[in-house]
Amino acid sequence: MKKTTDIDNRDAWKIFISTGCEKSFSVIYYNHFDLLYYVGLKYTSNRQIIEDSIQNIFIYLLKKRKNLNLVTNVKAYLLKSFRRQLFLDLKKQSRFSFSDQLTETQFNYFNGTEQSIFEKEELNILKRAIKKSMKNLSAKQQEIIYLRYDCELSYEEISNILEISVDSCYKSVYRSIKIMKTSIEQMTTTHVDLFF
Amino acid sequence: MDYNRYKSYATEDFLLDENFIKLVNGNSADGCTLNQLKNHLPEKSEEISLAIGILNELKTKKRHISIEQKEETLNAVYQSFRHQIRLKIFRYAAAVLLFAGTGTSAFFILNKQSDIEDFVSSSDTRSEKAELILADGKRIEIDSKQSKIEYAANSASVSLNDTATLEQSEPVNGNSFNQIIIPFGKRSDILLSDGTKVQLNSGSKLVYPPVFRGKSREVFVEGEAYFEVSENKNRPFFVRTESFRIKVLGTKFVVQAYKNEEEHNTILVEGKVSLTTTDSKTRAKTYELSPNQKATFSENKNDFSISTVDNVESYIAWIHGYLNFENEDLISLTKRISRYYNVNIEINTQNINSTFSGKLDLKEEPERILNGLSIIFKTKYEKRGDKFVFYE
Repeated sequence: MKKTTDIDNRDAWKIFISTGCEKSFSVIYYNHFDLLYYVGLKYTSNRQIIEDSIQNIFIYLLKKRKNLNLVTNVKAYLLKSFRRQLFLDLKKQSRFSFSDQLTETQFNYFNGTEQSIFEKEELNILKRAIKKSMKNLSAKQQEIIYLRYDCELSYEEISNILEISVDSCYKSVYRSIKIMKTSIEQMTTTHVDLFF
Repeated sequence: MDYNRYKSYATEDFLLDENFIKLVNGNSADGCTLNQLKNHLPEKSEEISLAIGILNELKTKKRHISIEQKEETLNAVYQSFRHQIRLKIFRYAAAVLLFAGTGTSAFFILNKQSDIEDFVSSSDTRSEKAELILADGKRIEIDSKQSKIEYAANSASVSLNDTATLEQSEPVNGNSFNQIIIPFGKRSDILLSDGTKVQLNSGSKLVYPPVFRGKSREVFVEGEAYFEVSENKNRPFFVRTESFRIKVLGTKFVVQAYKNEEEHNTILVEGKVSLTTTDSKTRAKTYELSPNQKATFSENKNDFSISTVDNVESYIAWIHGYLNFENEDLISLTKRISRYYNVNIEINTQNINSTFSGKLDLKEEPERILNGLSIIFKTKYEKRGDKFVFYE
């Protein structure tokens, strides 16, 4: 299957905001649903809230279509709005939250991942080492690593989504990778042959 | 690709290298492959392997999201958008009408919570045993597998299995209800004070006033029930479930509203009923059913879909003591059997593609029925502890 490019999405966006074309709206929707859903799962396991937040941002797009601007990066725009919406919806739901930062600190790299039914995978030393090394990273660091390495976003995109500078974004990745590598190497030095 | 610059790389340098990441992710710009890279840098093979391993592991495994789920969410987006626009117009219209001094209250007929709904939501009674709970909170345990509960005409006295008669004082405020809870493996026939007959299937609950007062008659059901409503044009009969309301004039129909099942159905056997959604957040939708039609409620859309059934008898077979199956596979068959007999059934076989049509006599012991099924479906079968297991 052909991978959709950023340019396809930008074009669909352009057509949608100028004409309200339903086809291009649904193209944008289907191209990003999975990404938003999987990112959402890292913050909460409440699938209903994730779906609601996705719904809400797309309802917003329909409602505010005429006031929307051209965006150069649809993916980053949607992720940024989704993240904001999700935090809002999560806060609304948990009435007992005292902290404003509650949701961000809940980011967990291995949340919502398919449990492997093959036990031998759990014996994979590298996998275990990475899971363990991830615990040495803050939620924020995990979030950035996730956007960079799992979602394959660029530093520019990540800095846009998280509203931090490209430079601090890069530094965070650099630092996290160092931390992870040190802890992974400690755990795996005697098992190098297992990586093949 | 320039391999020389990699000569001084450590693992983390590979992990931070844009070109290397692209190479591992399979979208390298210059068509270079990982093997070529490894061959050019034999002294770095350990670092490269570790970096590849880490990059691959950082890609978390993802659950598949079905296209149906996405479609449903997209539909909800459109629906909610249109609804919000409609509300805007409504508000505008209402304002105009108010200004003109005309009554607009009829414009906003809201689905107000009824007394019975208030009662149900405030008293979430569960029970493992079959129980009759009276208005004063007294609980009477019912031992028989198939119980018979009858209310005398327009009075609060109850007879149980023709053997016991219970009196209860009539409530003063008129807002108290009786409840019958029937667990899996049992059933009950109920005659209400207005002459309406209700048959309650396993795993179900019926809430109703001991005597019907006021302009309408209203009951609440969770699970599956068959109704034969006695006709009274002046006092319409309402059946409420968690998510919708059925208005009845005098007719026969089945309601299936099990909490943990996705499909909530209403099947009309005779007469006419109308169904209305009761989610107060959205506009109520109303449908009329004709005999041999089935209304399936969808929680997501908060709406019904109507279809015709050509085997309405199969939906009410359980009230006559047998289960009727048409082209059902082992999984859906055993689900119904397990509910009826309250037994655990486990299926450990891939051999589930064939389907079964026919009648099962519910007076048989479950073991005999399951044994018969194992022969039909060509699987092995045995009893392990309190579980019945189909296996290959």
